Amino acid sequence: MGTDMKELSYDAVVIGGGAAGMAAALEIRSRDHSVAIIEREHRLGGILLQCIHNGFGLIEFNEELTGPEFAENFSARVAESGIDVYTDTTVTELSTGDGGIRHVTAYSGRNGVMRFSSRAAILAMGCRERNRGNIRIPGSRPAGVYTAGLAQRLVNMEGYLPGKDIVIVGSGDIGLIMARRMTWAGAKVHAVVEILSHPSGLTRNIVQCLNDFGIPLYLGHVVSKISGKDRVEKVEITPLRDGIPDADGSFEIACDTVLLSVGLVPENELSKNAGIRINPQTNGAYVDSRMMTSMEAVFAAGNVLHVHDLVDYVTEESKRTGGYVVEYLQAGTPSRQIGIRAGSNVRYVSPGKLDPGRPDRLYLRSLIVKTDAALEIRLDNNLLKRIKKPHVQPSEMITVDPSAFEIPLEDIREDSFLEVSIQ
Amino acid sequence: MKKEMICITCPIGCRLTLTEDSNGELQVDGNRCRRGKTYAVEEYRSPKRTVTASVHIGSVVQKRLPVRTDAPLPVHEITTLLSTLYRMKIHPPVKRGEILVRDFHGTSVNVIASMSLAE
Repeated sequence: MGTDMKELSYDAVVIGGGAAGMAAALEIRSRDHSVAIIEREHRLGGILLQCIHNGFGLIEFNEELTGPEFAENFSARVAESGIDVYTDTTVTELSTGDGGIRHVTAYSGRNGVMRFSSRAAILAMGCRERNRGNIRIPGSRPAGVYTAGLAQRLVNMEGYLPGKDIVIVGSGDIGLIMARRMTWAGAKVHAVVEILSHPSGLTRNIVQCLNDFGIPLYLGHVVSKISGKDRVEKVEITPLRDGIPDADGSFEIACDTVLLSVGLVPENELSKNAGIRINPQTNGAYVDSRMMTSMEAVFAAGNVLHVHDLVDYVTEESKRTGGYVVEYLQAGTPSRQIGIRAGSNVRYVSPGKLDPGRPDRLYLRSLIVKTDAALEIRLDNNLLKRIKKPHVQPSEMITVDPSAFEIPLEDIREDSFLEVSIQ
Repeated sequence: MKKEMICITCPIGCRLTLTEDSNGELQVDGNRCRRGKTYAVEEYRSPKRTVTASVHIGSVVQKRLPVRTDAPLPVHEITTLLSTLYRMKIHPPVKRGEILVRDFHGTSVNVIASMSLAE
């Protein structure tokens, strides 16, 4: 195998050709560095290609597009840019060679095994869906239990309808979008069941994907059992009282299909195998102010770093990551960085560090639903800035622009940290 | 006549109550800003939605082609549009933005391809 291996060399190699990978690669290429994108599917675009509904691009393109259109805007730019694209190609390993060179090992039917050598590598593998095992629904193991994203691919791209009578578990956006899609495709969606007392998806999707069709949303309920011999026959739904299932309130719904929309997890098997440090709050790599992971010259962008709500934020973040890669290739290293922590009512803040001489945009997620809230930014427990927020909720990412606050450089110590909280 | 709705203009999601009096005058309550009233009146008088779907395509790389309306369509036309789309079969090459259904039922709404497909 070793003698047949194809050797390739670039300034930077991007793993994953979705929105994040394309945006990062374009930024690097625009500053005259050689770049390759490695993509396992047949065409660029990633998950956008199966998201055929509208609502993408309002920030990036100032118009409302479908996923495939958003992807095509980017892939057309990639085609003109001189970026080398390897499709149908799967990456198997990321490692370090002599002199700190990054090696990415990949294979495809066309080219066999390839080894890409580069001075920088960018992780842009996106995320994957949590499944039945992650939420441990009791019952039998019949056919007919799908993740919502898989069902989306089957209906929108493959032309199969996974079932006729549907119950959806979880009120995340993909589940809500699929409630409308299945209804429009001729199936009957009997219920959406959400364990939390508030919906996980955007209000717009509750209204247009459920209320439009009179689909009941059971908040504070769990699917306590899936039954069926060969195929799903029914589910049992149980309300929670003070967080505890109340069996007296249980009821059953007959159905042939259960769709799970119970969250997304950054896809980091490759990163973990390479020994990259993962942040337990985001399930993505821990990155510094330059989006560099714990492995020198390896950067991360998009949903592999933390799960975003809008693709427009993915591209914004990934362009910045591309810019940092260019700076790194041109030997720029920040003189000092301070750590960033998630304070009260904040699930996480990304990135994990900040260059105080040049603060950058922060992304964070709230743990609470609140109207008339405020963000508080503290340096070593001293309040720097309070920013009013008309409304916060866990499903909507919050952005903090660097112009929003100023860091007093003279107050920074060796162990200084910045904390963002929500009140 | 009274109708409850949730405003989707921004993430706050105000709960609106729309009342129509005997003269056909509309009154909107519960909105925090002007946009809430505009939303409620439009949603009551002539609700419209952008429709997205996929149609059968005779392609070697893909079985379905994503399509969408190029403007929001009156809600009562959606079911017939979908059954039209599900009966269609088209062949590549298709260019993104290409009109596949023109002026559906006199609504001046077209259905366009959301993706280019060469083969």
